[in-house]
Amino acid sequence: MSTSGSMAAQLMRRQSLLGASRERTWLISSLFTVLVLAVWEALTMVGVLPAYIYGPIEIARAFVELARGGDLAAQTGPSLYRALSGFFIGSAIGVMLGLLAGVSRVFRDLFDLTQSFTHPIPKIALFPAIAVLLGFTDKSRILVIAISAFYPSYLNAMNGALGINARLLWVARNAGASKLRTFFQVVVPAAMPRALVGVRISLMISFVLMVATEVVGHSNGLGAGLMEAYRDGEYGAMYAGIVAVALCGVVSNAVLQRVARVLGGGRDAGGAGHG
Amino acid sequence: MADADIRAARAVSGAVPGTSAGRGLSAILLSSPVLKALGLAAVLGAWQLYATVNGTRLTPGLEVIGQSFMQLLEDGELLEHAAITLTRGFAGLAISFLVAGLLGFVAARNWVVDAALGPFVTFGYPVPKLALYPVIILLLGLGAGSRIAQVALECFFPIFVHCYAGARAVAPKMEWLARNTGAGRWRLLTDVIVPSALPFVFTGLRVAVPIMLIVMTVTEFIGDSQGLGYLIARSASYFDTASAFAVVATLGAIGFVSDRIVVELRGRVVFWEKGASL
Repeated sequence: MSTSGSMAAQLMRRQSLLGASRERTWLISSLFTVLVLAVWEALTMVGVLPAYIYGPIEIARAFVELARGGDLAAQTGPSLYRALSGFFIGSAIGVMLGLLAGVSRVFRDLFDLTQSFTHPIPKIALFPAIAVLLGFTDKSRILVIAISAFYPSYLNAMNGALGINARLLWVARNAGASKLRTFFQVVVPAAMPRALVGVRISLMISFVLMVATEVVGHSNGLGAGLMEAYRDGEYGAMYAGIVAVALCGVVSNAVLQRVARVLGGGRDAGGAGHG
Repeated sequence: MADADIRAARAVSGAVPGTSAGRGLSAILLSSPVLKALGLAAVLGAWQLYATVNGTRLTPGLEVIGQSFMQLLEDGELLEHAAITLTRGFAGLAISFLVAGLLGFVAARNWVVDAALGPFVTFGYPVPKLALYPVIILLLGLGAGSRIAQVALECFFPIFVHCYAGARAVAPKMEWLARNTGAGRWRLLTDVIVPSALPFVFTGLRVAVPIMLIVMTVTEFIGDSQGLGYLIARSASYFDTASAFAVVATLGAIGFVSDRIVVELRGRVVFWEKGASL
């Protein structure tokens, strides 16, 4: 499968520090961010932009207002529940089956064709059909999210297990380790960095699918909330919803990176090479 | 390969029991092509069994899906909507590629631009850009424009990040050599940086195409009367799941073929990296 974006992102961060001193980079970064926000704010204040484009201050105010009223929490709860349960189910099954496929050719071959035919389908396309069967319920949403989260985890875990240094396996065999022990003490740790790259992609996809499944059909949750606010012309609530979705994505990504660093023995999720 | 080693060890120690005839049969059964076919047949068989047992219109069997597919094909509906989805999708992808590719290359070679864009990439990357769709509808309306823009937005970060990484992946010795032999900025770019970055650029493209299909499908679910996503939503609203699955399969085929094209193109363009997988 493809190299993950996260790997490239990590490469980027590491090397940008080599390019220039940390302080100067930091200064330029913050200055430019402030500049963009200031220009945006100024444009809305002058009134060049249409009325439905809010400035950063207005958006922040709307966000705080909605968060205080408890509306945002009421929407975030169901959304996070769907995104995270779908993510955990899909990526856990994906990693487990992926590792199995990595060590067993029989298993890998059995899944090979099915996987390569179903992987290119945009899984969200299944949602209307699944909704006909299960209704526009949490069940159908979680199912679609889990299916989408499955593939990146499966493929990366499999490639991680396939890419293990053969010497590690020779050593394990020479030391008389059983197959089960080799799997848990050699294969799983060695494949972990690559598998975590997949898990991270799964997480990002889960949040995209969370929004996608809520925008379609009647629902509650952040995606439905911001779509409803758009239809009613309540742009403050719409922007607040967008900020909440963005925060969910950024925070969960940061948490996963932390967890990955602990699991990967100090390495970032994204240590895998190109290819 | 891990299992090959374990397998070899077992063969040497003679741990595989069984008569020669039994071994011959299991060898055929366990050969790669047979197993692959068996795996797919099992999945399709399970689907068909489930459809037959359930016996309702909501869980169509394979033959019903096939009929719906042929019907949609004969109507010309499938091709018409597919053409709309694809032109819009690839237009968005092209815009994204131009902007993100350019920015990625500039950011990779210039630390000021790099530092300026850094926070936007770090915070923008993990955000589901789909949440911005209402704003884009407000700006561009519900026509083709908003869908193209949404695709461009969602594909921006994966392409940017891969182009950036590619432009950084130039071997320093190559760059020194080019400079020493008197290559100008332009020649450095066209003869050294771009070729080194190309494998990454193709990986970015390969990541972006499925994202494009997802975004096109979702945006077509919402308030449109054109495109494959609309066709799925319409079929499902008539409880015609067979047609919906037929369109889903078409989308899968489009994704598969696009991916093959990207891989094939990569093999032709980056011909010096023979055999390297993406």
